[in-house]
Amino acid sequence: MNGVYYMSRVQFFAILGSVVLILFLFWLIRRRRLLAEYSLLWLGVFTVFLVIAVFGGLLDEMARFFGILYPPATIFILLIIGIIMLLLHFSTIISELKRKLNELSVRLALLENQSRAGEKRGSVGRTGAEPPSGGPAAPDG
Amino acid sequence: MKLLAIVPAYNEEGSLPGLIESIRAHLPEADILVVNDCSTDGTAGVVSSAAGIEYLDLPFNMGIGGAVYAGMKYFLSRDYDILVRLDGDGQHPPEQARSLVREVAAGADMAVGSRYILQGGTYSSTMRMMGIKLLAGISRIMLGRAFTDNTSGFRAFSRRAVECLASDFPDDFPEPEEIYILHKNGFSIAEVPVVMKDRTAGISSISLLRTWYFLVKVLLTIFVKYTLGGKR
Repeated sequence: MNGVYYMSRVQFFAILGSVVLILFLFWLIRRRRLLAEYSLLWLGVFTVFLVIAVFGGLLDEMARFFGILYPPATIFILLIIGIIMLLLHFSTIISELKRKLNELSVRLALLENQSRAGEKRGSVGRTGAEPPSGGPAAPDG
Repeated sequence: MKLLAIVPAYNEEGSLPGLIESIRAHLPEADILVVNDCSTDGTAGVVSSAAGIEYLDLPFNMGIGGAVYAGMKYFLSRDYDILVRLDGDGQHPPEQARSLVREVAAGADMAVGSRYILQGGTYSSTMRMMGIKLLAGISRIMLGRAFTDNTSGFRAFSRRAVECLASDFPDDFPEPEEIYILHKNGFSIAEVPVVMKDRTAGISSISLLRTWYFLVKVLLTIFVKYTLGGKR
C-alpha cells in the first residue's frame, strides 16, 4: 500500500509540474517574450510530460516495449530526446539568423559605399549608382 | 572586359598601401575594391584616405568568406565582367594576377592560382601540406579531377561564376567549396601556376588548431553537401 501512496504522490507533483511549465509557456507567449513559432516544440515536450504524468502506467508500458529494465529510466530517455530535439531546433534557428545577419551586414556595407559615391558625385559629378533615398549616412573612416 | 580586383583585408594597415600600388601597376585597367573586415587597426583610415579606390566597411568581423561575399555582391551590383581576388596580407602577388585574368577572359569561369603545379612549391608546414594533398585526393575521387591547390584564394572569376557562387556562398573557408559548387554546376575551372609569398614563418598552436578546424569543416561540408545526390 505504501508503494501506491508513494506513486500517487509523485504523480501529483509530476502533473503539477507539467501544468505549471505549460502555463509558464503560455505566459511567455502572452507577454511577447516568446514567439509562438519557437514555442511549439516546448509545448510538445511539456505535453508528453503531462500525458505520462496523468497515465502513470504508460511509462511501464513504454519501458517494456523498448526493453528498458528499470522503468523510471524511461523518463530520462524521453527527457534527453526532448532536449536534444530542442537544441537542434535552436541550432537551425541560430544558423538562419546568422545567414540573415550576414546578408544584412553586406547590404549595409554596400549602401554605405553607395551613399559615399552619392556624396562624392554631388561635388565632382561622376557617374555611379543611384544614391539611396533616406539611406544611412556614411560614417567617416 | 571590365575588371574588378577585390582585396579582403583584416588588420592590414601595413601591407595595404604597397599592395594597392602594386595592383595599380600590374592591373592598370582594374577597379580596386578593398573590403575592410572590421579591422581593429588603422586599416579603415588607410583605405578611406587612399585615392581612386572603392571600399566596403563591414559592420562586424565576418571572416574571409563574408568579406569575399561582400566583394562579390558589389561586383554584381555593377557591370563588371571579371573578378579577381587578392588577399590584403599581400600573399597574392599582383604581378601574377594577369595570368588568372587572362584565363577567365579566354573563357574559363574560374581560374585558380595553384602553388603546386610548378615543382619546388612547398610553402606550408608538413601538416598543411598533408591537408592540401588530402584535399587534392578527395577532389580526384569526388570530382574526377585532382585540383592541386583547393585552398588557394588567389582566383579570378567570370560574372556567371560569381552569380552562381553568390546565390549560396559558403560561410567561413570558402575556397574548396567554390571549386565543388562550380564544378558540380558545370562551370569550367582552370588551374594556373603561381608563386605566392608565404608570410607565415613557423606555426603557432592557434593556427594549428585552425588548420584542423578548417580541414574537418571542409571535409564535413564536402561529404554532406556534395555526395549522395546533393544538388549543389
